[in-house]
Amino acid sequence: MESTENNESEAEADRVTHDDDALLSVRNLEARFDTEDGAVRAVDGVSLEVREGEILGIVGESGCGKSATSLSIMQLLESPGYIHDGEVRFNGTDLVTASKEELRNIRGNNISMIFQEPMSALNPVFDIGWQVGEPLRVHEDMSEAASRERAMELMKQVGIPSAEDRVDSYPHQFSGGMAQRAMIAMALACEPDLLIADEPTTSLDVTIESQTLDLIEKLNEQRDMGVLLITHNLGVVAQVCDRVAVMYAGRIVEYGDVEDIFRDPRHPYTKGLLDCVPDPRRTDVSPTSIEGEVPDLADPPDGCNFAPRCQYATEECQATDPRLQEVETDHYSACLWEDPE
Amino acid sequence: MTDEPILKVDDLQKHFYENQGLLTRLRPDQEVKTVRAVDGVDLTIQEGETLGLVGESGCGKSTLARSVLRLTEPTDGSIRYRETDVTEFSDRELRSFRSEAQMVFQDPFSSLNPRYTVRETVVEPMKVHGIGESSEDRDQRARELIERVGLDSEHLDRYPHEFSGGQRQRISIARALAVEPQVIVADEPVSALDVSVQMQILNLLNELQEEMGLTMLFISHNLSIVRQICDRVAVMYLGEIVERAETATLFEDPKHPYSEVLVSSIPIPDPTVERDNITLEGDVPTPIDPPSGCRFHPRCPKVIPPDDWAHDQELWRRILRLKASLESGEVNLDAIRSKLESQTESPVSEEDVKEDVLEEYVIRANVEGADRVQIPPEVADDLARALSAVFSDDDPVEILDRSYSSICESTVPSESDVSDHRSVNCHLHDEELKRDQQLSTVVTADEH
Repeated sequence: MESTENNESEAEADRVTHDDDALLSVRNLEARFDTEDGAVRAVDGVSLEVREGEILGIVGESGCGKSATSLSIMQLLESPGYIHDGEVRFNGTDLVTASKEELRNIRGNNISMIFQEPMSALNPVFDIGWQVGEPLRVHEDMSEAASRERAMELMKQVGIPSAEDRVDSYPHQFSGGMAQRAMIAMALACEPDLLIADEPTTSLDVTIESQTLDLIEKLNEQRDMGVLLITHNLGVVAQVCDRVAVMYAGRIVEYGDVEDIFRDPRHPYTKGLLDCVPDPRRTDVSPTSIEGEVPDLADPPDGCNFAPRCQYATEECQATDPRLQEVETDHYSACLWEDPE
Repeated sequence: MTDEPILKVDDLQKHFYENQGLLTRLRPDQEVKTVRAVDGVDLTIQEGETLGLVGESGCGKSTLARSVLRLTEPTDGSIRYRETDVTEFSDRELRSFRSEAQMVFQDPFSSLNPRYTVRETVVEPMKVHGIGESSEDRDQRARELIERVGLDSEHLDRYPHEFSGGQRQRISIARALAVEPQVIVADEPVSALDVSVQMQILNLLNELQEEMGLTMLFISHNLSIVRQICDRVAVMYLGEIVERAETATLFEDPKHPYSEVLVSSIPIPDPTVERDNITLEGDVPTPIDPPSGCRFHPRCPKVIPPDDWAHDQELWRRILRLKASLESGEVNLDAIRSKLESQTESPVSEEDVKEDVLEEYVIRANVEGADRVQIPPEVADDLARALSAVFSDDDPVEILDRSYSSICESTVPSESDVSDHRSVNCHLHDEELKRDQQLSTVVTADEH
């Protein structure tokens, strides 16, 4: 049983990741959490690619495994979580099997990450200049003074006013939006090829959210930096992402170009999720909700994970576990039916 | 049927005090800081309607909600519920008021007692307010309520941790309804929930409201949600209401520049649409020392320039921003000088420092993504003169104020009625101001 399933997710990995020049290629990634109820597969055979200079979104609801995926890519998953299987290939190195030394050289240098709550990601006892300059001291052997100088320039670039002054401030003196800018400045210090942003605007106000998204978009364009953006907000996806992976219960259920997926969603979950988002231009249709609850990952349903909530589900859906299949060029859906309607 | 509102809030204020410990009070050099969380708010809610209160975090909307129920004591102002003044209630009257007005909180994970079963959670308020004739009767009511909010009566003996977020929020709603209230204050009731369940809870609230004739004050930072559920909306910024309107009107035609920004920032779930959302600069200012005049003016994209201003709006805004930064002491010339000195490793002239300040605050050449603006020569002269004042210990702000000041900085906009049920606090819509301006243009036309 286990081996046939593995073969299927291997086959999915082959279908989905085929770009040899991809910046980051994740194949059949499986992350588990050991709990009292047994091993929970938070990430259950995920394959995706981030291509050079693109913004790939991972969207899903709480508990779908999107954050576990981003932490697994960075090898930052903490006990009781661990990577059970899979490959995360970045510039020819498999991060899963890389040594600590290799990882240290890559993190903060070639790949950097920003988190949801900038305030808790910053260290309260060091000033901002010290923290923004840290990657430069670690990776580029810069002196304290030079790194502070560069930190100030970076802070200016991300639009922190009076950077000369603010470089000596401490995190508690920053507002949430400014702290997120400081985090972005820190992430950019070593000019990474890939930025992983895990819900970067979720704790921010709407007006600050659009400032921050604009900044990420502009940095992506100007520096040709790949971005993996994790979010629960389809509006954010529509605004900034080039491609998107929709996650449900540890799996990617739909994957492809943002415009294709919003225009013609193929997986019933994606359709349902899109229907939950109010469209300010349309007052004639009200948003709906998806009935039912997310399945317990310690005891996932047989067959398709979404079948218990799916209005199109048939008996076959409860027996067969669907994997991603190409439904049109570069657009994949993990539904038995190519077009369930 | 009367037009008397069920709730009427007049000039409500809630101030918090920082640094008011004994040691600070003994030291005359330490000031007690006043946080003006809610600063003179008027609101009316008609029976059976849902009023939405929107604003960003820190604007005082939750404090306002809590003050209305006297969960925090208001500093000043009055709250009338039907014929009575809530601010003057004794403890006993307050208790009976609480059976008329109930609250649903944002976080269903912390607002339910983890040691109470669902049954105990719902029965407790009935016991406190003497509702139900016997424990069997209360039990029966609890069962009905739990089924009414979409749970199963089997769930009555379970504990909160066994439920998902959406289910817990249903339990909170059942608890609030247990005392048969007239008014529900819902503070961000769905923002902790996943999008796929948000609509379930909103629909439930809508149905219950219609069935029971509830009046609702609905607080949210999320405009799309407000649009789904509210009849009227009040937009709050930094402790004040800046616009009131019927929901559809506000979304179609926001009058206050801040409302415009909020409406434009509603995400459109369509990647083919190139969004023209207005990006606000800067952060929400602190309510400890709110900006003068209109509190929104430092961030306002439409801040009114002087009558004789001939250049573009963006330049005008950046000059105002420079002025504000000079005033707050945010521009640190010594730090800029030492930065420039360490870059060039040679002494730096006053001119270089001035140029750097202009680069950063007005031209914004080194900020990624910012548009550059050109400074016309006559404006450049004025700015140079003002910045020189910093070096000669004069007040640069005073110099700038002479030719660069805005009515938005100097005068607090009053509430002007735009139409029925619709008012806005903004100089752009200030009828009197418009009339004055028309008068003055008529006069100048006559002179020609």
